[in-house]
Amino acid sequence: MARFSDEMLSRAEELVALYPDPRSATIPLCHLAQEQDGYVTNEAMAHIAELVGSTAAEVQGTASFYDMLKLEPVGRYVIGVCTNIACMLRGAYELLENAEEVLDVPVGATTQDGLFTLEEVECIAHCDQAPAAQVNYRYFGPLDRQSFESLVSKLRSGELNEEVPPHGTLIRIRREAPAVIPMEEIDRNRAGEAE
Amino acid sequence: MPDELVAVTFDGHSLQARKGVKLIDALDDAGINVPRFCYHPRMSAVGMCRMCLVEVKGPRGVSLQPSCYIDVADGMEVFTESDAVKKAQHGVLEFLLANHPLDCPVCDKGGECPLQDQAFAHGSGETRFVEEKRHYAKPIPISRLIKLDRERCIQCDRCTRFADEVAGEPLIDFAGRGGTLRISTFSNVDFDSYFSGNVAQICPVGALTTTPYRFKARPWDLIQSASTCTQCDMGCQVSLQSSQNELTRMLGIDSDAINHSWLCDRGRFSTSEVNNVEHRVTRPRLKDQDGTVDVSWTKALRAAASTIKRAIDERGASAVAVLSGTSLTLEDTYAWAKLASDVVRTNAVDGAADVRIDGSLLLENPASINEALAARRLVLFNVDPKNELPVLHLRLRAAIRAGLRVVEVNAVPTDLTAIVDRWIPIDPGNLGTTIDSVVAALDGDLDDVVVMAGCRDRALGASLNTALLGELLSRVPRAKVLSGIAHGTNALAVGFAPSAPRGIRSISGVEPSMNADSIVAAALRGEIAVLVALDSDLMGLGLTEDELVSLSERTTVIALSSFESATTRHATIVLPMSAFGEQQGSTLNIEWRHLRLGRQVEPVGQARSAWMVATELASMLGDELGFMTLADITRELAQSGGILSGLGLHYFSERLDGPLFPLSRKEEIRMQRVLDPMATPGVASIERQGANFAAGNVVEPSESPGFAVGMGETPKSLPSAKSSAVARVIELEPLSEGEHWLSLVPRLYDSSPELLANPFLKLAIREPVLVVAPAVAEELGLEDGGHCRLVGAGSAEVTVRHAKDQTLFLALHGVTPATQQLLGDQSWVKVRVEKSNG
Ligand code: SF4
Ligand code: SF4
Ligand code: FES
Ligand code: FES
Repeated sequence: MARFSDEMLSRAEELVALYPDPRSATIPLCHLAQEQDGYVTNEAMAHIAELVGSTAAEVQGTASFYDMLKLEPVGRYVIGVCTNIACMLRGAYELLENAEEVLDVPVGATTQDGLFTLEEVECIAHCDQAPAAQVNYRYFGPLDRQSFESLVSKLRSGELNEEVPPHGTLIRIRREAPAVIPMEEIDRNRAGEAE
Repeated sequence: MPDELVAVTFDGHSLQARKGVKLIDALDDAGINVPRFCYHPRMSAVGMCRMCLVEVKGPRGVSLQPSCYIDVADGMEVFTESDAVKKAQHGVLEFLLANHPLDCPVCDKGGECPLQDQAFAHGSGETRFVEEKRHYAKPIPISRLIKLDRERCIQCDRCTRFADEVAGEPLIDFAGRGGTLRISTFSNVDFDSYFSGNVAQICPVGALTTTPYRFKARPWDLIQSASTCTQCDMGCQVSLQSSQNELTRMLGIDSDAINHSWLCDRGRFSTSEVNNVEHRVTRPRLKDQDGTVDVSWTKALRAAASTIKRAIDERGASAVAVLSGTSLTLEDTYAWAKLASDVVRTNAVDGAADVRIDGSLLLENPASINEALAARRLVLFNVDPKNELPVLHLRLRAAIRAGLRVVEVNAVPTDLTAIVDRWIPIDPGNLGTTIDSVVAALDGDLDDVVVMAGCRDRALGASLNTALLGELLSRVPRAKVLSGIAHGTNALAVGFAPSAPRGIRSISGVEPSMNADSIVAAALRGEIAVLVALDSDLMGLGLTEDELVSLSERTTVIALSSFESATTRHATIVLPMSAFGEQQGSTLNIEWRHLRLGRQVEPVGQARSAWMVATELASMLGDELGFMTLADITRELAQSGGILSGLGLHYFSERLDGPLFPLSRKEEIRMQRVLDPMATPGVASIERQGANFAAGNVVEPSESPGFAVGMGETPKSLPSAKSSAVARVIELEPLSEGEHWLSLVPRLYDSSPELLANPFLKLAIREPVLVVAPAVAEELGLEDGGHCRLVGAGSAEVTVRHAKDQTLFLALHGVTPATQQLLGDQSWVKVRVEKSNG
């Protein structure tokens, strides 16, 4: 839990190379740090600052702006129960209370075993399945006490490993720079088109 | 070039405005004040606070727009007093105050607070916010010098913008978002910057305060005078404020010519050392066989005079030496120069020990700071603005951002190296091509070049430094020169140093010919009978304490000093000298601008001004210096025929920053001082509250809108050093086996008696660090963070760091008594490196 591991570092360097200005890679690197440690650690922020040529205070400034970047440890699964209008009308508050009971933690806290963090969130655009919840930004719903319990036990048992990776893992960040197309080739193609 | 104008209509009046400026500035020019928080005239506009909303007529009718964020345009029609504007101002203020603690009675800013003032002027006087306000831990020390009270912050982005844009050290930033947006450092990384005090000066509320001033005074109890910081020869313009005969704080004044309202912490907090009576010399004292006794001034001066007389009679005038430090005023320096040259008639004087360069090169074709920053090319030669002339570093950064092209010539990279156009190393192994590379880097653009010349690297001998600079100037003959020497301008101007050439001298008697090093060496050999240390710690000249003890056994040391030091401990006669803020006078800065010093408090104990001491000593020696008052000295300097010819205090009433010398220099003054209580709360607001001022010392903007100064004739032509004695390229004797070139460069917080007397800044003193190029480190087996022993003329134990910049060889950062031991009198210092056992 700290700076980027060797493997992560090479991915980080690839990300930095994607942008004309290294600072532009700040947010992708924060996601990468979150994938490694589950949240963005101080050491990771300091490392990111080195990689993009800013200061750790600036990285922290950026990272702390976004709800999806956690600067404090969270559980392997971050469960967000929606209490916005559609869900509320379909019993979101009951669901939230049930969730607190099932997990035995209040909203905002993480379970003793470090597996679950419970959050209350605004509309996650899953209204058609209200009351809805998200686990590491994967949607589930409609949920009642029973289905919530079974969701939790499936997460515990690892049955949903395929579907719900640990908090912080973002497929979208796994991007690679496309091979550089030489300028001559572009010119040649253009010339070809013009004819 | 006159500004282009555009036609505008402000509140129904047809007016002309300067093209291209921000609307808020154009409104200011027109005398229409728009309330504001985030806008600061010396930083880029961000439109954060929305306090400056005005109505602007556009193609789709009038709309509210932030006047700090839009440029004035031809035909613009603006309303600043409409109902919509009023409503917007009420709204913004109510919003800002919603979460504001309103703890004005216990807030340091109360009484000079833009938020308080503008809430009175533009607020609605009522709040509808009845909820619990936010709370934070408080105060949070974001550095040793700055404290943060988060709930007072109005998120104007001034402090963070300063740190990022002006200082280039974004160690504070906003964290969070919305209602919990807050200023934050990172984890345990302090806002550790030479310039941190500025954020407290520009914070428009009491969120940022300085530890030394916190809860010290209420602004309406302060009295102030206009003065000049004398910690370095940048000459930053300040408002020096005091309460109950104690200096309370210093604020930067926005002088367009010099400091643009910024100060460095070394300067800003230097008041704390003046106040630290425990470290001050407060009474005259004599040392005899029974120990040290406090005596009266008369007795001490008699003792000094008779010792000097005996020395002259028995061993000749050259057996009396005067070494002077750098914080003397111009008048003090002149009085002592005259005493030494006309009364004592000794050639053994040096008031500019730090100047290792031929002074005439600096004055042949002088440039002002603004000229240097507006030149097509600026060459920084052997100078490190950040550590030597800190605020110039800020001005340079701003100029470089605005497109100034800089060629930096240094043996060791600086904090500017990363942003200059070209960095040309002075490589002792390859000196011959240095100047060729500099000239090549100018790309044939030789017409509008300013060379800023200093003597940063202590390892470069004076003759080599002069030779390199001389060669550069002869290759770029039309170049103007800006002095980069951090200390000693006053001494050069009056001729109180061997490095001061004839043409600029204001005294005519015996010429100084022994420099500080040769004086100290002679004293150690027992050839000096009396050594007067004027505000100068001999250990700062590379003596060890043992050497100092043995020196003081053979030589009578007379120390005239504000602060206790090793020298005052061992001196035979110790005389208390008044310090900064305790005496009136004037001083010169690097551009040879004459600047005033304000007297704000009584000298501690029995301290006296150095010029008075000189006058009295002269008469005890049976002679007269011929002046009774400061004005007499000014008059004499005015007629002396040196570069200060025409000196006069009346210029200060025309132009608060004072004129450039020689007086024949012309200068376009674009802007008089800006005393904007929104930009720098505390400078103008005190005046507004009707506090009293020391007579003749008033801080006020001048009426005249800008004029060109150009008075009198050049006194006499200056000698041409570059055409005369300049040797061509010097070949250094090559290294022998096991030897390495060493650079020795100063840092802002290198231990000195004044710094040690400063309870806040002394904590910033760090041990010297040897920065080693990685390749060299590998060759020598030096580990990062390890230790080694350097052996040169003397030896020193130092900590090693591997270089992260372009350091070429060994760079020792930190000029201390210990590291100065390494210097000998060669052209470039060579050392051997030994692994230390520790
Ligand atoms: S601390 Fe002061 S300067 Fe900084 S953002 Fe807050 S109000 Fe502005
Ligand atoms: S730069 Fe020099 S003159 Fe200016 S505040 Fe700092 S020490 Fe004083
Ligand atoms: S309201 Fe709950 S998902 Fe939209
Ligand atoms: S938005 Fe214009 S002064 Fe703040």
